[in-house]
Amino acid sequence: MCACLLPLATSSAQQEDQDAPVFSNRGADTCLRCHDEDSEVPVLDIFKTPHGSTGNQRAAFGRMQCETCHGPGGAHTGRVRRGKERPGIRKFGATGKTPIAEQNGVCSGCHEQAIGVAWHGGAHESNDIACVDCHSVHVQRDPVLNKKTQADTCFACHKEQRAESYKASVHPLRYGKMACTDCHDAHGSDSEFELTRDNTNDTCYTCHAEKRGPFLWEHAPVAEDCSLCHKPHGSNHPALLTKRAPLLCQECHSQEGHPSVPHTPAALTPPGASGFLLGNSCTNCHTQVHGSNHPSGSGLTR
Amino acid sequence: MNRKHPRERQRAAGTAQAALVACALFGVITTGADTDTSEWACSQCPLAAGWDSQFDFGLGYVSDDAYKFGDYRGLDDEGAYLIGSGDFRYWGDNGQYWEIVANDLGLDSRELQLAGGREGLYRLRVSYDELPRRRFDSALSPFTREAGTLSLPAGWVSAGASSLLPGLDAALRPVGIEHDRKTWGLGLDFTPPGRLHYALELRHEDRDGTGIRSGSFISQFAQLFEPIDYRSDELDASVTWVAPNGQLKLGYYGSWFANSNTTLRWQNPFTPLLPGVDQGRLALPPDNQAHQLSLSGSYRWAGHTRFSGSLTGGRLSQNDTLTGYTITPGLGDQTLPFQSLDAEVDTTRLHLRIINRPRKRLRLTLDYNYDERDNTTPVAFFDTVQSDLFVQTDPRRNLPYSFERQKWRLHGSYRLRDGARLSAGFDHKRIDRDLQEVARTEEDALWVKLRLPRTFSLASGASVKFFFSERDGSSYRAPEELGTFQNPLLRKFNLADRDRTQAELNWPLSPHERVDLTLNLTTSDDDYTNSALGLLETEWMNILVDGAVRMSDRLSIHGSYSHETYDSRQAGSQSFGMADWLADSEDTIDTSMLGVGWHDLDRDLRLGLDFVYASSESDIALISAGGVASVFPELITRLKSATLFVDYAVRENLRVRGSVWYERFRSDDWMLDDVGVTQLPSALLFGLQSSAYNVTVLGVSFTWQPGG
Repeated sequence: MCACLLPLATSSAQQEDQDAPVFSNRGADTCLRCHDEDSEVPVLDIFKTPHGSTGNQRAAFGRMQCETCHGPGGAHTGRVRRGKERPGIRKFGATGKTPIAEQNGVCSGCHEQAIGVAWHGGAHESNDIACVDCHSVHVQRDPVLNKKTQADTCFACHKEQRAESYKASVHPLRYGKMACTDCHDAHGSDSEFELTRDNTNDTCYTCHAEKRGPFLWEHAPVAEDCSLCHKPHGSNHPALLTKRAPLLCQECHSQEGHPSVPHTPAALTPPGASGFLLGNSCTNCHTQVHGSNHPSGSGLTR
Repeated sequence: MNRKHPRERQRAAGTAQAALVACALFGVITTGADTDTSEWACSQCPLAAGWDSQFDFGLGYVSDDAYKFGDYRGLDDEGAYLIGSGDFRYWGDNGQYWEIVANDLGLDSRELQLAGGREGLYRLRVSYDELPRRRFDSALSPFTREAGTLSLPAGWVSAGASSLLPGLDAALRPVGIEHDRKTWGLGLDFTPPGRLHYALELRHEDRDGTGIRSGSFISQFAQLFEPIDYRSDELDASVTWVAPNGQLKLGYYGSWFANSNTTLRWQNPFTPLLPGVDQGRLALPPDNQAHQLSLSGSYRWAGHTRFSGSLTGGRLSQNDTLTGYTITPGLGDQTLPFQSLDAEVDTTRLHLRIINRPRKRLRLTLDYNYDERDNTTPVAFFDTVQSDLFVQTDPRRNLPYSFERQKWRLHGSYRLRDGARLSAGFDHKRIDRDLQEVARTEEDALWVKLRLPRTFSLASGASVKFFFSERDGSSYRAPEELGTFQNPLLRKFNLADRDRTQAELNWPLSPHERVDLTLNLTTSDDDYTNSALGLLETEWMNILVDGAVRMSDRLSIHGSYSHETYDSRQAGSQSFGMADWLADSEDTIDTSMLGVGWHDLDRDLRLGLDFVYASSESDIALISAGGVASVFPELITRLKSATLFVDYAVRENLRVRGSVWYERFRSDDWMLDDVGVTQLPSALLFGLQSSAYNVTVLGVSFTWQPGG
């Protein structure tokens, strides 16, 4: 049994159903007389995908073939009087006349479970993004479903993140070893930034579980939000940091003594060369910056 | 690929029609239940049956060893490598299929996936993935590592300064700072006839290699090799019930982390500050677990109201045996308050969303988010030992941080007559924190956005958005447990009062049918209005221009330019009073890309040329109370990359591809450059240098589609 949800807007196709829709005479055999590999949009590769399987009663071609998704094509494929324009059919894409909600309703009619509960009201749906803005149905390999090519699809709109992927310290997005959907749920989620898990930290812990703790001695900003110190899309500072130590640390640490001393360029070279700037700066001593489980680790040095 | 016999197609069509009646779809998916489809033979359909495959194989050559170039990619070694990728698919009757997909088999970044099942019923998949991390290729150190112990050479003679260590030069050896992740995955999706869907996913990851830690004895420290020998396991299981107007999902997530090394011991290379302190020991990340049970669902009432929500309960835990206070004999023999921490954090998350359309063009959305971290880890006082040297005067109390985050969002969206959309929203965010200087912060935000329809000629889909928020909170006062160590004028930026202003303009336009341009401008300013010390303000701006030109049916050009700046100012006080110094940090990042593509359809020949130039500068200046600025050397990175490829169809099922890829990277980093092992008198550094490389990668490969 397929699941389906009505789109919020009354669809033009629904109205058409209620007015006794007329289908084509021979289904796909009718459509393919005009729509083949030489058309503006090549279509035949759909038969190399699950959509084009006739053995699957849930697939488009296990049902009303092309018209399962594109709607009744009786008018579109019928005879057209001379001088009259051929009636259209449901068309997918940003520039067509079919409302986005109607287009997406077609996809969610079968893929509601995969889309999940947070699509409506999420960032993409709220900005009238169509399923076909990201997904390619008439190709054998949908680029957005492949880790190696997914980022290019996302970068088509999220151009800032493309530029960030060339920074010195990055996650391996542009190398094809990580996908945007490793952290984000493009179909919407309950968390901020449409993350795959409930919050930023839980998302980071799926790959960085060693930072999860809970530790005996916690570092408060670490437990609260990784993005207080890190920029996950890229940074020109090491380890995706927002800023270099010691200044990063001195945004929150003001104790008497070395935490509040301004370390000038005089500390870069002998005789004044200082470990507060060189090497790993503050973490030369406070190496357990993410927390420590050592009984003597209250200063994050053990 | 084989075509089906026409009679088989007729049988399939008839079966499909019967299934349609049982499927009971309605609404947008058209059922055609009353339509005679007996002649819908799909005789022109090139139905997939049998097998289909594509293999990419060849040889590549990397011109130079370059760790940073090979980071994540596996191309760090000079020499030849196998280009090996491919996929193999088999379609059987009744929707059965199998597929194998492989990538980069000749590199340390290889991946393999096997999947199969019956479409519409079940899918089973097994995967394997490798991810190489190559950070530094030559960390110089006299230490040798055996699991979690770092030892100096036999007969090591210590000294009070690094330059005076007599055996150091002879003992230094280069060691790579690198690790590899190897991940196995197993997944199963099962959708039997009915309303239920089952999903199960297992992942196991081994992470092995060497990282960087530091071991200190107050004024002495040494950079150390951290043993990375981690195991991570994850399990995701869910069952979803799907109905015409909604769905309900019950899910479980479990994560287990294990570290083969609990501590890192190292031999003190220096003359101990106190007699007998010739070793140090620090704790490595402990084993931990996380478990979550979640219930989520959505429901759509007839017409205009939709509800979705989720409730998640979870627990993080860690109970490794605690190491002793110190490795120094005779010191810190006090009894630990407990042998293991039995740390537990309970998490509760709730999300509710209601969407309603009171009018055809108006949509209202109300969101509520609740996120609680309740740290129930036991609390005790510990007689801590400072750097394995001496027992601290006062015992230290551990601080298990808890917080409660709530967010309310109300936003509306109105579709104007020409298809444009005007949206506005109000957000209220509240965070309650334990054991921190501010018990509660509250932030109110207002935003408005206008988006033009995609059919608007000069600005298809253009949008502009303004956002303003104001955050304040309860009085800034350190709780008793934190003590009074901080300057009372300091305001930690995540707790401080803050005004945030953001603006965003996104303007796609097509001045010609063959030209697409996008202009994007984003700014974000944070003003920490009541902060005298700490972060005072930040300004972030990004300008991006992106375009594509289809010169002809064969030739296209695409390019983009991005200019990003991030400026921040912070204040400090070395006199533990009012601010007596400022620090300005300015990051500037420019990224330019240009690509040319040429495709000769007649000869099935493709040419491509891509350039990338990414540069960054980071400027840091310290300003004294007298206004004198001390400017750091500029931190610089420069990346230049050029790729040329030619792809030609030798036959219908055989293509040959040749490529040349040149990449050059330079960086200036005062933290590393010319900083030798003994640069600091009382420290042993690795002598790491900032990355630089010139690498050329040549490749010749064939793409073969047997049985096409």
